[in-house]
Parts: sequence; structure tokens; C-alpha cells
Amino acid sequence: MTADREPPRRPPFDPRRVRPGPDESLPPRRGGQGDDDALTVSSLNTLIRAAVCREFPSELKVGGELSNVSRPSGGHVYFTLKDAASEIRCVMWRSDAAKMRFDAADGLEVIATGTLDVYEPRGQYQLYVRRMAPRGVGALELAFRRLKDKLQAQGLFDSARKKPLPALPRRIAVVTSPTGAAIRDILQTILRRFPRVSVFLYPVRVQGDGAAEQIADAIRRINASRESLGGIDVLIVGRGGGSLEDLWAFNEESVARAIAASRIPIVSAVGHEVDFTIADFVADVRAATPTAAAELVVPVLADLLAAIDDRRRQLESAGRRQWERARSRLAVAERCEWFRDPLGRLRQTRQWLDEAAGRLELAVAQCRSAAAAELHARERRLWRVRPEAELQRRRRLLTEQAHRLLSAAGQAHRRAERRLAVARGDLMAASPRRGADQWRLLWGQCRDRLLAGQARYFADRAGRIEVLGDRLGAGSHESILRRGFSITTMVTNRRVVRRARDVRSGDKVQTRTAEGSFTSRVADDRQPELFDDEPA
Amino acid sequence: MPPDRGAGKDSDSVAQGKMTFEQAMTRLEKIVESIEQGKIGLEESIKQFEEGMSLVQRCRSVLAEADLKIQNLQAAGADGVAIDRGESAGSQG
Repeated sequence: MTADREPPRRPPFDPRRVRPGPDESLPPRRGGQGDDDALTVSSLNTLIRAAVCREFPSELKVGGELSNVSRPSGGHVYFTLKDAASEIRCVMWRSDAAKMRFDAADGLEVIATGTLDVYEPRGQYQLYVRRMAPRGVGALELAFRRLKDKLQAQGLFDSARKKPLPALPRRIAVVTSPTGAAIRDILQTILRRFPRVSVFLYPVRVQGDGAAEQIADAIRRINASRESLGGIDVLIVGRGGGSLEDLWAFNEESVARAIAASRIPIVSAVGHEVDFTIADFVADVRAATPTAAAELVVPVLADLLAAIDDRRRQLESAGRRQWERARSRLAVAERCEWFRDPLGRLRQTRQWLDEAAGRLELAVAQCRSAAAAELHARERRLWRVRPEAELQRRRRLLTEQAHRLLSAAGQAHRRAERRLAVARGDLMAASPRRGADQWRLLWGQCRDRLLAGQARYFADRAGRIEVLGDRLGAGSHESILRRGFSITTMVTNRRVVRRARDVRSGDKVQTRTAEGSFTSRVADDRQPELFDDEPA
Repeated sequence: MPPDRGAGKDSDSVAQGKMTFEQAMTRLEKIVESIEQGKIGLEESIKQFEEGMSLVQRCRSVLAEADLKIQNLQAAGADGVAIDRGESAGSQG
């Protein structure tokens, strides 16, 4: 290239250009001739850049693995995308990097979308990345888990942070798409259950670019203006069902932080039952669906009215029972005697009082008369023992005594006289002359009697002797002897021989018969030893 | 008594007596119990009965007011919102 040739104008950096400008073209290749036509480095780089701009579409999508990720203080992100065999330098401006939904880290598989351009001062071609996303669903899930762990470690999911929902909300804010199924479901549910609320809808995008920012912004704004809106009781944020990418906005950190910072209780309602987003974890309550969210937030009007009615009925019946109880107590009291006839008792009492008074009077009178009588008696007694009386009495006594004495003396005298007379009589009777005669008489009588008695006695005795003699005679041995028996006696001792053995041969015995007796000697030839007994 | 909610407050009209709906219902329950048990005197029963009936009325009126109202919000100012008067979803129900 000759020195006088102007270097081609540097094309302005315009990634939208597809074709090189008309005034740019690569100078025709020449063979290597001398050093005169050597290109400058600048012009070489310019040409290279022009060629790159010409050849490459303004937007490229490149997939590869992140490495050497660095974020110097400027905020721009420099990294390398590589695959097994090759790599390319990349840069992402700060403003674009801020919109990244995930944490770019070494080793992550990503799809980077951007423009290829040449940094002329360095002669370096780079991929200027505008957008980047983890490659494939696995990468998304990885990013999800990373963010979840990070926020959990910071305590954003703690149940202690969760605020309770108001029991009866009147003003409800809803952050969702104005055209989606979510708002429709929520409104229908509220209408059905409890149509006495004000619903404030803040329309946002719920997926795609900028969705997370809009959602987070909405939550912040509503919080900031809640007083001026008249107070917001609860906020529902959510959307209908979709893929993981569709729901991704609710996995963004910005949304999570906005929910965590909300003073208004937040119910998250993202997707279907099985979808769990970061927003669900941070929210005060997670609802499986938008309909469920509305059910959680508003009560059923009919139930509330029924509960009020129940209370009212209980109140009435309790009141009625109390009333009845009080009334029946009153009725019982009314029936009591005091009530019906209060004077009755009074009459009874009065009568009793009268009677008692009467008895009292009687008693008093009796008492008095008894006392009077007693007094009388004492008076009389006293009168009786008055000194004059006593004197008189004694005098009379004395007189009586004197009389008795006199009469007794007289009687004694007469008695003595009588005795004397008797004694004289006795004495006279006992005079010797009369006595001797009497004695003689008495003696005669006694003698006669004695003699008579003696005679009788002797006669009696004689008679008895006779009798005895007869008896004796009858039984005497004379009569026995006369019958022929004899009595033998030992001469030696005059004992009667009753037994043969009483005698021995040669003994002398005497025999007595009725007439006379004779003596004999025993001639006995019995064996003596046979009859040697002890004599009786 | 249920604790105060974050920013919201229940039932503005029941708040005449400075009572939330929940609090009113709880008080009602207590009144029914106390009358039923019969430990309080007759005058007190009547007084509480009247209070109970007035609570019933108030609770009912709280639930009776206002139909469902839907309004749109839009960004206003640096960080706030305002009601979007332009296009309201109108009342339903």
C-alpha cells in the first residue's frame, strides 16, 4: 500500500450491519513485492475488522463453557467461552451483565448471544455478549439451586420472618399479567367467596425480558404507596402455569429481595401445584395456584354470616335461659308465704304476743298471790312465836305440868295406898295361924296323893313283873328242859357247851335236866387234831 | 386478641369500637359463654346481652358493605403507584 493512499475509513461500530459499506473493500491481494506496499498494523486491523463486520451476522449465538470469568471494578464482565478444542474471548458490558438472571461462574455451560467484533488497538476479536443464559434445563436448575442456597443462608426463607395474613382483608393488591389466567381465577374466586373487597391490579409482564424487574418494581411501589391507597391488607403475586423458563422471572434475585422487603404480607401463586419458585420460598404464604391464593386470602362470606348467626342464636338462647332462670326464681319467691300473706305472720306473732302477755299477767298474779300467801304464813308463824304467846304457852305448859304433877302425885298416892292395902291383905293372908292350918291341909293332901301314887306305881310294877315272869317262864329253859333238852356246862368254868369241839376227851361236864343235874366225863374218841380249834 | 396485621387493618367500620372483626367475634363468644354460665348477675347479663346484639349487628354490617371493586394501578412518581383512572376494570358482582 503506497503512502499516499488513504487508509480506508474505519467503519463505525455498528453491530447491525450485515454487509460492509460501499466504500470499503479489501484492497486486492498482491503478491509479496518489496517493503513499500507493506500494510500498517492499524490498517491491517481495520481491514480485519471490516471483514469481520461484513462476514458475520450482527447477532451470533454461541454455546460453550464459561471460564476465566472476571469482574473488575468497572462492572463489565470479561470471560472466555470454550469448548473441547478451542476458545474465544468475551466481554459483557455492565448494563447487560446486570440483567443476567443467573450467577455466571466458571464451568457453567451457557448460550451467549452477542456480536463478534474486533478491538482494533489490540487486534483482538471478541464476542461482545448482550445476553447469556445457562444452557439447557439442567443449567437452569443449577442456577436455581445456587440462588436458593444463597438466599436461604441469608435467612430470607426463615419462618420467623413470615407475616400472618389478615383474617378479613378489605383491600387486596394483585401483581400479575392483566391478560393471563391468574387474574381471572383470582377475581372469580374472590367474587365467589367474599365479594366485599377492593382489588387493585398492577399489571406486569410475567415472563421474558424485564419481567423480574417489573415484578420487583411493582412490589416496591405498592409498598411505598400503601397508605395513600387507603392501606393494602395483602398482596398476591403470581402467574399461570408454564415451563421453567416461563416461570423464571419468579426465580430472580430481584423479585426475591422485593418480596422479602415487603411490609405487606405477600402470597405467591406461581404456576401449578408442582412448581416451586424462589418467590414461593420467600413469600409469607405459598399458594399452589392463583385460585388457591384467593382462597387463602379471603374467607367465605356465607361461612362468616353463618358464624355470626350462630353466635346470635346462642346469645339469644343464653339470654332467654338466664331470663327464665331469673323469672322462675322470682316465681318461687313469690309463692313463698311471706310474699303472699305478709300480714299472716304478723297476725300469728301478734296473737302469740297477746297470749304471752296474758300468761305473763297470770304468772305475775300467781306469783304475787303466792308471795302474799307466803307472807301471810310467815306472818302467822311470826305471830305464833311472838313473845307474849310464847310466854303464855309456857305459862300454860307450866300450869299443865303442875296439874299433871298434882294428878300424878295423887295417882301415885292412890297406887301406893292400893299396894299397901294389897300388901296388908297378903300379909294377913300369910299370917302363921292360917298358914299352919293350911300347911297341914296341904301336907295331908300331898301325903295322900303320894301314897296313892306309890300304890299305883307298885301295882303297876307288880303287874309288869307278872307279865315279865310269864314271858320269862314261857321262854325259860325250864319249859325247854321239860321237852327233853338238856344243858351241858363245863364244870371248870361253868360255860355252856354249845359245840362239840368245845370239849375234849376227859373234860368234866355237868348236865342239867328238867329235874336235877348230873356230872359226867367226856369219853370222846375223835381225833383230837381234827377238832383242835381255837375255843370260841 | 389477634395481633395487629402488618399494614392492613380489618373492617374499618368495626374499628368504630376500635375492634377488628375477629376481635368482635371473640368478644361475642365470651359474652355468650358468660351469660350461659350464669355466674354474672341479671343486670350484668342484660347489659352484656345488649352488647352482644350490637356486636352481631356491627359484624353483619361489616360484611354487608361494599361490592367487589376492581381497579388498576400504575406507576406514579419515583417509587409509588396511583390508581389508573383511565381504564378501570369496573365493579363485578
